[in-house]
Amino acid sequence: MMKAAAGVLSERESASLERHLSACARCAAEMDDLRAASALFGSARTPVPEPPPDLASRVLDRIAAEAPAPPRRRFGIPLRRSGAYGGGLALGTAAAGIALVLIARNLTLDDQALMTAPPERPPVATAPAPAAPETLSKAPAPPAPPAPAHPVAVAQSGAPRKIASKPRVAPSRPRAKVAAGPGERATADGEKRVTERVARARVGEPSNNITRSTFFGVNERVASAPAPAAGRPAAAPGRALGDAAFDAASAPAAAVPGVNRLYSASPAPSAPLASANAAGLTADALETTAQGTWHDASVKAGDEFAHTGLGYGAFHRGVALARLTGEREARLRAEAVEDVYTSPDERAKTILSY
Amino acid sequence: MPGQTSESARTLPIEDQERALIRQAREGDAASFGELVRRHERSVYSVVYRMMRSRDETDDLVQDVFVSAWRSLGSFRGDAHFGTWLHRIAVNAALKRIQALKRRQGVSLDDPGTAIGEQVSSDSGEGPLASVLSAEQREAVRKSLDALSGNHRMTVVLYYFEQYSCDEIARVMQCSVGTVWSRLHYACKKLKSELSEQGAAPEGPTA
Repeated sequence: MMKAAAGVLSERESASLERHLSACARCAAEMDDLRAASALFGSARTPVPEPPPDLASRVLDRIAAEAPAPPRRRFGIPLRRSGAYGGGLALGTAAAGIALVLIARNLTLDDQALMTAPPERPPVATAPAPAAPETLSKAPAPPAPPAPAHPVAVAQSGAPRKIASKPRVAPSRPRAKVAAGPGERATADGEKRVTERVARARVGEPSNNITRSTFFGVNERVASAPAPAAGRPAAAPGRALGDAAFDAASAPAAAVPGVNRLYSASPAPSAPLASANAAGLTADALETTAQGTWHDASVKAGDEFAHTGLGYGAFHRGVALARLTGEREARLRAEAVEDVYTSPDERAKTILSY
Repeated sequence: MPGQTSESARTLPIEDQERALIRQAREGDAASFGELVRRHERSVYSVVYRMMRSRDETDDLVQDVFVSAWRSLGSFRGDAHFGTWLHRIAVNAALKRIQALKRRQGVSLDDPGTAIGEQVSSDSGEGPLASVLSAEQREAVRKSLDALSGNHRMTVVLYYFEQYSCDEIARVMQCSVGTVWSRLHYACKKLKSELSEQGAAPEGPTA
């Protein structure tokens, strides 16, 4: 009926409706009301003022003058949950979240450095590296680039992440080894948990092993492949996206370009991978991970996990992205998609399309 | 360089021009982005103004929208028209701002007699269309719009005032076409009930 009131019904639909209206006084009355109201709205349209003549130049001035925005402190504030539901629940799930995440990840305590990574370590000179996009070192801030930022560029931006500050000794990172047999077990839901030991090569440190479990609703495996040429999207190599990204985030800087491609490589990912990623990766998780401490991120992940069952994947990917690209880049990506897309699925797809 | 690229873009058909401008802007060319702003400022301003109903608020918010678009250009995938994408940002920004203002003020954004009065007043010389409405009808339209949620009001604004199609609204507001129709239906019923309360003529415009 609303379509009829707006005058957009086809002739056939219109005739059919009229037949009904001629036999139904109630619908006929409602139809009259809708038509009148629709006409009133249509007549209430008035011209609007012209935009200021210098609008474009004001915008450009702001773009030119804009320093990198300070991170928005959003952690701890219920983002989409409001009122009593948000506050109490967030607190209540926080403690459970920490336990949940730590148990799920089976983090060993020798990875204390990862949990408390100081963000202000001075960058150390790196070995010759492939040309990196210097998008993050540009001022004024350019739009978030389609190509992922290289950690070297992040280090230059003045917000070095731990991974960017690590001296690089090898041109390629050691591949994580998936433990077979004893390391693999199935949950009651039939989901697979794969316990892996990820070797991380670091200069001046012994190999820092992390024992962890993957816990994704869809634990996908795609073909392991060597890294294609830089800048070219390619099919995601390695294991599930979050796993591989996490592994690479834990690896030296040399490995990062290969993993960055994981995030740029999904114009047409496989359907299950797309749905898993779309569900699992949220801008909130990215932003929380990028801005908060690892502890904060764990709490947030637990919170999301408790509500959606998908936050753990989001946490993994958020951690990986924040560590790969640096806080600012991760924040920019999160903010960028948040402004444009209200749907978490859309945000997730967009972040993955970088 | 930016000047050159913008110049060469002008010789292309409009859609190609826009694509070229977007590409250059994504590469960091602010001048190209400035051209995009000039092309879309009027329509964006119109939508935002109809929601905010205040020039000051609109001026600020429209700037925010374009700055946000600049920051977000990397996420523009090209699977929608640039204008649609831009309006999506504007719609989200306006809805967010209205929500924030309502929270802060604890009252409706619209101050009777100023805000929506500006929107549908027949005395302000804003155009002939509003003058066909009686005072009661104007009041009913104002009240019904005030009573609507941000999403419903935005739908009415886009459909009746900006004359978007329902398909376009669905794309901009990221909802289904059915939802758009449903929101319009709800808004019309709200207007009807306002008219009934006021005893205003339900027959539509008086002219």
